[in-house]
Amino acid sequence: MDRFERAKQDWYPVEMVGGLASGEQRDTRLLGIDITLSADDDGQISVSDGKDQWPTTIAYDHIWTSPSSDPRPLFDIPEAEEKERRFVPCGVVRVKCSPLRAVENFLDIAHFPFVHTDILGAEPHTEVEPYDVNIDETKDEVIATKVKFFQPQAAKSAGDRIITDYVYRVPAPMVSILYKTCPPKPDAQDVIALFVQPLDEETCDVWPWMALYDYESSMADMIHFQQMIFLQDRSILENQMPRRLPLDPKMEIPTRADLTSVAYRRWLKRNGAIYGAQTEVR
Amino acid sequence: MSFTLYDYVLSGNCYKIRLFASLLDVEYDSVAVDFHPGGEHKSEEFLRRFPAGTLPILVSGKLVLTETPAMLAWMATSFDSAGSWMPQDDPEKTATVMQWLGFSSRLTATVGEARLHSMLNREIDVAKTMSGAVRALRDLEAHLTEQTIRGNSWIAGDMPTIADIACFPYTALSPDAGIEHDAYPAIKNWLYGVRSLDRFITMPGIHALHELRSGETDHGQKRASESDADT
Amino acid sequence: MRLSHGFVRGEALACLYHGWHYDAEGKCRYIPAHPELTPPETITVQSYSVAESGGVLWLATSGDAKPIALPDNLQPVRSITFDCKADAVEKVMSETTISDASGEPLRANSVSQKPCALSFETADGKTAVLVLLQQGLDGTTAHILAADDWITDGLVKISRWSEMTRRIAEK
Repeated sequence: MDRFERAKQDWYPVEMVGGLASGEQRDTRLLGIDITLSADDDGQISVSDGKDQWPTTIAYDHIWTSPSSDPRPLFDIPEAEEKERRFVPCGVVRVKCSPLRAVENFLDIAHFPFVHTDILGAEPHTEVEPYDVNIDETKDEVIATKVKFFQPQAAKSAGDRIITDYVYRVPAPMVSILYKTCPPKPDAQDVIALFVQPLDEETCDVWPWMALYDYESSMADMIHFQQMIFLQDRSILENQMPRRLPLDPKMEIPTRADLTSVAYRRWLKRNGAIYGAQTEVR
Repeated sequence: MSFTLYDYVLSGNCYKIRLFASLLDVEYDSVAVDFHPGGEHKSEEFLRRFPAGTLPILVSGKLVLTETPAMLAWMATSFDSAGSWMPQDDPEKTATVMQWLGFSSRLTATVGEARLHSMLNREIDVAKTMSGAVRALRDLEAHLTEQTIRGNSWIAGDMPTIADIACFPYTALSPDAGIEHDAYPAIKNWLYGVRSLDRFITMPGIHALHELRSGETDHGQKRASESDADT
Repeated sequence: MRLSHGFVRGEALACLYHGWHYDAEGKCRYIPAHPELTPPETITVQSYSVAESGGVLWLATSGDAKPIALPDNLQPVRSITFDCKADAVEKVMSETTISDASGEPLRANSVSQKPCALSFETADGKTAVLVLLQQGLDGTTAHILAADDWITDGLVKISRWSEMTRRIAEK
């Protein structure tokens, strides 16, 4: 299976809207290919690999590009149209890990009491109750529902301890979206997403983004909260072995808490999305 | 409120003040500044108020401080009635603390910069910064080794001082820049000591000491007693 | 996730990521996400034979740990890591001297090949300083022990000597 085949059909984030000033250029890498981003006098971004111009699109406050001249359509986040929300691009963080590990970690809740101690979880409330995981066959996405966890401080907007309800959605191999209980507006959900740019199979630039109902916190406060959570995960991600995500079913962890990871790995394999994965049995 | 701190959650320098305030049990007002991705600390609005253009900034009445050693010294003098965090009774003790406050800026300039490069893609001279970081950590390791030999657990003597607070964050965060602590056993012991202090608080990249959470069942004990008969 | 980042609770070593507890044989004993579950026997981490002798921990990657015999009057000084191979460290240390309290220079004597051990001895053949060299992937760690009659200033001198050998060996 060509590691690159499926990966090159997707769109990937490479910059925030407004991240590059007019006339400015920046070199980066995508799927092992060196590319240059250039902003013209009007601030329009173009992407080139030195030979060809790559297609670009703007979505969710980020610039997306693809090595394919005809990439598959970008996934939809309807909440991005809800103008009463506050949209928060949180800034890039580089991590020396497989892009697939960055996504899988975002889907995991059992680590909350140990990695996000006294914020997203705390001992002794470590138990993970059963939840549901399905593949939405129409959209070909992984969806986990009825996920709940007891949290000391679920969000910047959360006053006190609550049981938080989560829905996880994986609309593309390197994108992970979380919908969670929203304290200021209990009938709605906060949206937190990780858009992952694979520099190569073992390094990625992660572009987190949020669409929240929070009218109290400053932009800086909301960014800080999300960065705090993600940077707590970073040292874990950089120490996970093997570096590439094992997709062989023999390497699956047989506990109920890991249903989403198991479903994600099977879905990646089924889709040939093996860039960043370890496909041989070691 | 004792002071206002202009703060960035991922900054090791800002964390020195947050940590020390917690250890001293002092409350303060916090203003979050969008360092990354916004670069707010370099905005015209911010520079007009604070020409230094750096973080943290500590404001108390008319006093505006922009260098963390000064902030730590002011906090110790203002809030530590026991006078142990910044000893002022003995010129040699004071000088020793100040020497290591001076050293702490080497850690910021090397380990701190290497970390910003690894995490937030800041452009640096990688080879030069990394070798400077290793030299600074080795110097700290050598000093802490000698302190241990002399029976002292802390940088400036047998009690923690602001020298320990100043040197702690970037030393603890060196793995963010790819420098693990395996080659620095004296540093590892000292880090554990700082993390064990009463009212210690973490920052991203520095984990809580889960060992110290009480009331947990010993889940390894079952096996140990089962195998007693074999030994 | 590397277990060296984990934490100790009682007789268990727990992984930092999800808090899974492992006993001294490497068997998983507790999974916090499922507190009532008895972890499957298959969840095990590799364990190695360890022995404690002479104030040093000895490990065997296969079979039983077999420490070399050490004099019983030694105290630990420091473990220092060199960014070069063990034979380079050994060479430099063999070519230098350590001065004892009376100023008498002590030269190295190789006492073991596997693991590499250098002994700095007094005129009457007593071990004054012992250096055990451990070759790692990226470098060498020298575990330095001294006779228990060395005083503080002497131990500091040994530490500084080790840094001098590092400056030479890494060139």
